[in-house]
This record gives sequence, C-alpha cells and structure tokens, in this order.
Amino acid sequence: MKRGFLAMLPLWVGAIPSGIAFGLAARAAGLSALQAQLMSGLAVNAAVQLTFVTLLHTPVYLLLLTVLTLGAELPLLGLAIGRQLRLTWPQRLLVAWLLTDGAYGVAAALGPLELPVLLGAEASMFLGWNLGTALGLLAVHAVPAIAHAAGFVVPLTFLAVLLPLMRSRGAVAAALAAAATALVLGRAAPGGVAVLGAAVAGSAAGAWLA
Amino acid sequence: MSEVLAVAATLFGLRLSGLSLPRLRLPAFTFVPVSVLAALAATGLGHQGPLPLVAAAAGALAGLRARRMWVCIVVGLAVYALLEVV
Repeated sequence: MKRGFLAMLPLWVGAIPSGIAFGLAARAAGLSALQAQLMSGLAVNAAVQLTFVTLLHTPVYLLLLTVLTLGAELPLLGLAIGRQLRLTWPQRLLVAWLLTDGAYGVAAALGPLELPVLLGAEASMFLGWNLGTALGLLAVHAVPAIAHAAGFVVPLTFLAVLLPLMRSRGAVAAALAAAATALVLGRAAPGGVAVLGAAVAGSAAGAWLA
Repeated sequence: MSEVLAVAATLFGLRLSGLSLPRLRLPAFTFVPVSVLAALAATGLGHQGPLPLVAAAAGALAGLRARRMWVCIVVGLAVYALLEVV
C-alpha cells in the first residue's frame, strides 16, 4: 500500500495545481466551498469536475450525458483491473470509488497489478486531489496564475504517466494510434467519445503489432 | 447540490461497471491504458498552440532520459514557465 502511495506522489505536482484550479473554478461558478469539496471527495475526477463547473447552468440531462462521454474510459480501466485482480464486492466498491486513470497507470507501471499497491495509489491521488481542491478554495482570490497553468499541467501529467508504460513496439504503436485518433475525433465529437474511439484504435494497433 | 451527487453517482456506476463485468481474456485490452493515457495527453495538449507542445516534448525527453515521472512534470513546467515569460 505504501509503495503505491509513494509512487503516486510525483503526480501530486499535477493533482495539486489542477485541484486548486477546480477549487477556484467551482467558487467562481457559484458552488459553495462545501459542495466543491464534497464533489472532489465523491467524484474524484479532474476532467469531469472541471467540465461540470463550466456547464453548471445547462440542463441536468445534458450535464450527465457529458459526464458519461467524459467518463467513457472508466469502465475500460475497471475492465483492465478486473482482468488482473479477482476482487470481492467490498473491495470492488472501494476500488471503484477512488479509481482514477493516473492511479491505475502508476500501479500498473509498478509491475504485475496488486490490490494494496492499487489502493495505495488511489488513496494518494484522492488525498492530493482533495488537498489541492481545499487549497484552491482557501486561495480563491489569491492565485489566478495557477488556475491558468492547470490546462497545461493536466495533459503533462498524463504524458508523464504514459512514458514508463511505452516499453514495447505494441505499446508505442497503441499510444501513437490513440493520440492521432483522439486528435481527429476530438474535432467533431465530445472528449469522452474521442477517448473511447482512441482506446479502440490504440488497442487494435497495439494488438496488431505486438 | 443534486447535480453534484448525480455526477458522483454516475461516475461511481461507470467505475463499478468495468470492475463487475465478467473477466474477459482479450489480449487487445493490454493496450487500453496506454491508449487512453495517450489520447488524454494528446487532446489536452493538441488545442493549446505550439508553446505547450514544445514544453511537453522537453519534459517527455527529460523524463525518458532520467527514467523518472516527476522529472517530466518538473522540466515540462519549468520550460513552460520560461517560454511564457520570454
């Protein structure tokens, strides 16, 4: 558990600023500090939460549709975990609550997936994300520059997590095909649909070359 | 408040659905995480112009050389900040 928790700490460099950005954006959009912190505790998803605060005043069904497309990769992460670990129901509920792509990526990069390592990484990301949110809420008026940088820090974090996973020809092919697909689909489709299409294209390319 | 809870519940359902599907043994799923992470990085960086791309590439190269994740983030951020100032 400690190994997963510590391996995740470098990603706090991304989680804290984006958490701060969410705290700022949430307060600016009219959420109370309690609502914003509660959301970081329950939803634990930077992309969805940052989209949520920008779409706050659209109808709920549109909001949930966007969440579904943005979260389209989450069942795939769960599927990847289910392939490697046999979990009991209480374990599943806990893993599902805290599951983030960053935590899965780091836990998977540490060798064959183990439940304590995964939970440690998940708890670490949860703590960093909520700490960042709290800092953002506390500093609502003080650090607009950090909010500005969040748009760069988040994809940079994905890139940093991706690098150690690119250890085979198949993985490199998957990453390149997925990136290209996401960029093309992203012009026309919502972010989540583009990511889902990229996952399919990347997996196909990787399996073909591996 | 209800929207906050609805979004959280939707995400929880999405996460749980993947974990609760029957164990599939498809070799293609090996590359799902790599693909998803690459897609997220590409879409996040793709719409921001050349400056973040240069900074991210510098971070990626440094991270690969050092074989440390945090080096990628720190170098990427440093180059980004430097380019912002210039």
